[in-house]
Amino acid sequence: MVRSEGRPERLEACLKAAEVLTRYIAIASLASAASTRPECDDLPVVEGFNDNLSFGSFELSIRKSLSVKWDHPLRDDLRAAMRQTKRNPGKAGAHLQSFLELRNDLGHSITHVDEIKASKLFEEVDPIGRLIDCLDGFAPILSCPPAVVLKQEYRRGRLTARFNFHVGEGEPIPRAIELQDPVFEWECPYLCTARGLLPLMPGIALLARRPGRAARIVSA
Amino acid sequence: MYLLDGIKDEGLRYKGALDNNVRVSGDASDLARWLANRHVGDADTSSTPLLEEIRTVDGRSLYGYLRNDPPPARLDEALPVEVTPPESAVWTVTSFEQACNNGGLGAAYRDVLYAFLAEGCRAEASLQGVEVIGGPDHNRTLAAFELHGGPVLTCTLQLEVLKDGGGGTKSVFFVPGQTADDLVSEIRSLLAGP
Repeated sequence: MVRSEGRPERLEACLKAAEVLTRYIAIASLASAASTRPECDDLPVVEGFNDNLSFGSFELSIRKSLSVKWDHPLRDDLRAAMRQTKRNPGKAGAHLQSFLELRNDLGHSITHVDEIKASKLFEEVDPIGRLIDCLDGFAPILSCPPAVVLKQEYRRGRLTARFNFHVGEGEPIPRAIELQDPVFEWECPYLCTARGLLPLMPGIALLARRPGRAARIVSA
Repeated sequence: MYLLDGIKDEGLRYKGALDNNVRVSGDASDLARWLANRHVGDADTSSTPLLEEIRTVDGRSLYGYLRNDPPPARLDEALPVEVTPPESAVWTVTSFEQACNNGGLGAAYRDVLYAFLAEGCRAEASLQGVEVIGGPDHNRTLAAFELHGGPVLTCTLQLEVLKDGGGGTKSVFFVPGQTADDLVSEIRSLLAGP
């Protein structure tokens, strides 16, 4: 978004950033809601979660996940970001909705939007300001680092796992951490939350898994 | 990082977060673990845990480890630790430091104590633990250390005696593994004066 030149390109970059943010938060929220579901309750139903997944499907997934009856690791943070109350501005929820409406209005090829129209939208909608509000609203969730276990070893009574923490822009540097218990999956993305590791598969794929593992990469 | 983008017959389609690269992987039935309306056939995802409470070797969660939270007091450390003097005995400066060491609180205790000693104060044993004596007439109690079960080390500062500290007292609690850097900085600043 920072590198984009011209208002139409910057507007498109804002919309794409909002959509990627929505997808990421939706995946984390679905994983979180499923993680502590009591057997007597049903998983959320997200209408339209099929075929080509739309911005709206992911936005709806967030709302469904924060509305479940049971407590789950990210529920309070999701509610604080998405729900507007007297005490809580909940700007992220309203702004995601406005980005979704803007995407639906403009379609997917908005580089044709002329400079004047884009300037007008910048004045009316303030997409950069809204995106910053969204990032601030979801900050407690975004501060949970995505992690991948590369390798686990048990030697002489000590269990050591090599983790990649995907934070920041650069390639992560593997970090060895001694654990009490092993992680169930490796080469699989997890979200590190205060209540434990949430597996992000099948919502996020970080690495091409080696032959012999369950997944397959058929195109790149 | 590739984010879920579509559900196709050949598998789940992922799109790069930073580019438009596309990958296909996995199976649509994998989504049955998250969504009620995605249950397909007899897909069995029950064996994969949906939340893993992984702890590092010092007892912290991985999240706590990354945030550099202090490790919790371990049961095997807390129970046998002698944090009070034997009956009919009183603390000495040496026995108090030894008890702090046993409870994993020695480093925090010494950091705070030496911050006072470096400014010409002295340590004396008391019924409750150890007191730091100093001040303008070199005979006032500036701070008191006590040990409690858990173990927890308490340091109570006498702010009315310390320079520019205002009135009253301030108590700071330490658990094993916690550093005393903030308190040491505060003490140095109080002792240095304006």
